[in-house]
Amino acid sequence: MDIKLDQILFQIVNFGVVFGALTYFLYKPVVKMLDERAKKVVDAEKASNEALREREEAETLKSKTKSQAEKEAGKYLEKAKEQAATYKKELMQEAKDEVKAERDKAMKAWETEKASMAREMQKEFTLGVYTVAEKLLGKAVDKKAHADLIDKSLKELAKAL
Amino acid sequence: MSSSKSVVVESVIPLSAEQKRVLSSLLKARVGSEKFTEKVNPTLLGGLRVSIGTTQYDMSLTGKLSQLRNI
Repeated sequence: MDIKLDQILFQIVNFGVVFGALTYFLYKPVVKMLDERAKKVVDAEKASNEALREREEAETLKSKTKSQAEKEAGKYLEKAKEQAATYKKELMQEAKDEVKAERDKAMKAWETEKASMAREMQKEFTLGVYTVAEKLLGKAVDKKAHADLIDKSLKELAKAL
Repeated sequence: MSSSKSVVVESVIPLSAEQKRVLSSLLKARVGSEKFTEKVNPTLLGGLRVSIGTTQYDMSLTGKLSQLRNI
């Protein structure tokens, strides 16, 4: 075997140069590129997770707000119902008071009318009695009765003077 | 009391002598004069009505019925 040292050295150097050139011009850029791609993937994943998280937060906020709005609306509805009930009660009481006032007024008017009618009737009755008595006395009193009446009148006059 | 007041006595029938005497005594004691004017007034229905000056004393049946009417 004929081993030539200078050729082996030359091959080694040649290989080293090729290896070095390949490492410098091919391996490092490729690794760099792969690293960059990996970084991009990681960033994209991060962004996606972030977006998902934000979406979840938005959904939570939305349902929270909706629930709060529904609660508020329910409160307002209850309040409106209460106010309507109170108003209805007030209106009914007002109507009752009006009816009572009218009834009292009518009763008072009736009482006044009744008293007036009673007084009128009493007047008429008294007048009737007076007229009848006048007619009866004119016919029934005789001379002796007249004399007795005059005596009685004289006694009354003595008391009056 | 003044004796100058005129006294008018109204009745349904004329007063008897006794009644006139009683009336005269009464008027003399209370009014100061026994003189009076007699009048017959059938509308009285009974009793007497005596006017002394401007004061009237109505003891007649008509007067009593009027009081009843005015109640």
